[in-house]
Amino acid sequence: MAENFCMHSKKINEFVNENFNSIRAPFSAGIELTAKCNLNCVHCYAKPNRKHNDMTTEEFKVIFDTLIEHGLIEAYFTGGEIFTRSDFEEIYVYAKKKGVLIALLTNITLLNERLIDLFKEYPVETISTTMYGYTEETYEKITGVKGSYKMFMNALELLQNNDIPFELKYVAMKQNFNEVDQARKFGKKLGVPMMVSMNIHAMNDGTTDPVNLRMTPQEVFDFDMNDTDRRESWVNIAKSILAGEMKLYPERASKRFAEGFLYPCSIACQEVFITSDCKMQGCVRVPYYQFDLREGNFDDGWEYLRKTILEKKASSAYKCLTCENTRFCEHCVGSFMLAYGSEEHADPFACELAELRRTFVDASIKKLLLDDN
Amino acid sequence: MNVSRDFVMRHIYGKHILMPVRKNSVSSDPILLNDVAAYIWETISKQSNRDKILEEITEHFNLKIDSAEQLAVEIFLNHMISMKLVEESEECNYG
Repeated sequence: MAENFCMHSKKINEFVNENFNSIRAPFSAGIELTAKCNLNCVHCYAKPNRKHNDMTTEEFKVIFDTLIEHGLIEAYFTGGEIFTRSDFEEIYVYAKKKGVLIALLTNITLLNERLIDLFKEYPVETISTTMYGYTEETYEKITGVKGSYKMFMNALELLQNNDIPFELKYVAMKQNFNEVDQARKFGKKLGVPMMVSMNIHAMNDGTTDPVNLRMTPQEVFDFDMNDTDRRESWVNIAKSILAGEMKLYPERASKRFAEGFLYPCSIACQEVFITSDCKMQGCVRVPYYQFDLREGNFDDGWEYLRKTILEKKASSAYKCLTCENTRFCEHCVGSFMLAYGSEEHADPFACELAELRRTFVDASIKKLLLDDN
Repeated sequence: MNVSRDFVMRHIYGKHILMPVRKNSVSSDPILLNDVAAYIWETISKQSNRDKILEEITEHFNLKIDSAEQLAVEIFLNHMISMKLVEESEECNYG
């Protein structure tokens, strides 16, 4: 989901929740500056977008100003690869001068000294980048571009040496899973936040090839159990539930599901996504409901997203509405639709993984109770 | 005096928020201002003379001369200067 686009976004979510909780407005936006990319990653969901007629600089400014009028506080720029745009600097400075916090999602291979100077003068919230493999061979097996590993490592050094805030992600899949531990150690050595994601999604046009690259639910669960920090986080959830500090059902999801809504998340409520060809979506994972900002205005599009996403009800047969594993699930209606052609086709991968996690948390709660006695 | 160019004021659904733009030593996070602080900020951004700024704020909020409230405004102004949210310009009259 969009709120997880990078770890930093959590802080802004809290700020919005504290100050604008009941207001429906695009406080956070993802903007795909271009779908074009200098890499050709095997798992990329955005490849079908590469034929887009990318937004012009002027189109960007008009859309951005409209979002600001409607309350935009934070935006993340993504691609494709954002640094392939020759007007990136102009766009970035324009956005910063308007008083919007900007995070960047980039493969960083095109990062240079000029961009570093730009980020020193106009600080970026965070640069969120992905390490596709610990070794050169694995990294380039994923990216499909010879020489990209060296460019990535040089760019990491540039970020590190110049104190530019950044975070590392590792998208674990069959091709690079054997190097995840080395990558984690590398991240720790650098002293930067590192998130391991095992979520691989279908492409935007519904092609499911990337999904075939993901680990099995059991492998993902075993990874959690063998990783001290991740295992500890699940034990802490057990402690919080037992202490009554955390509900078994996440508040927003349980409220939305109780009212019969299909989408439990905050997309199209406080978040929006703009594609590189100026289409407005509820989030990056919901490209099947789009409003073309080249054909209509923002208000009409925002209303369209209200009707198609925010107010959409689930059928009574939708199993997620009454599922007891919501807290442990990486449930995403958009991913269901892209992979299976139905918003209500729960992904067996998500169900199986949530069940494994729930079983572990249940066992942890029992153990905590017994230890107390 | 002038407001710092490192921040820009945004008014979002009734909240007044100073958003960081450039690198600065004050804050890299948004700063929430109350209505009075926001009015003071807007006044400084339109008027650079310290005495006139104080006069306008005193008049706007109907403060008595030499009252505790007026003193509080002056202290707040000094606080903004010490935080480098407001820069003193050469033409500034310290009264």
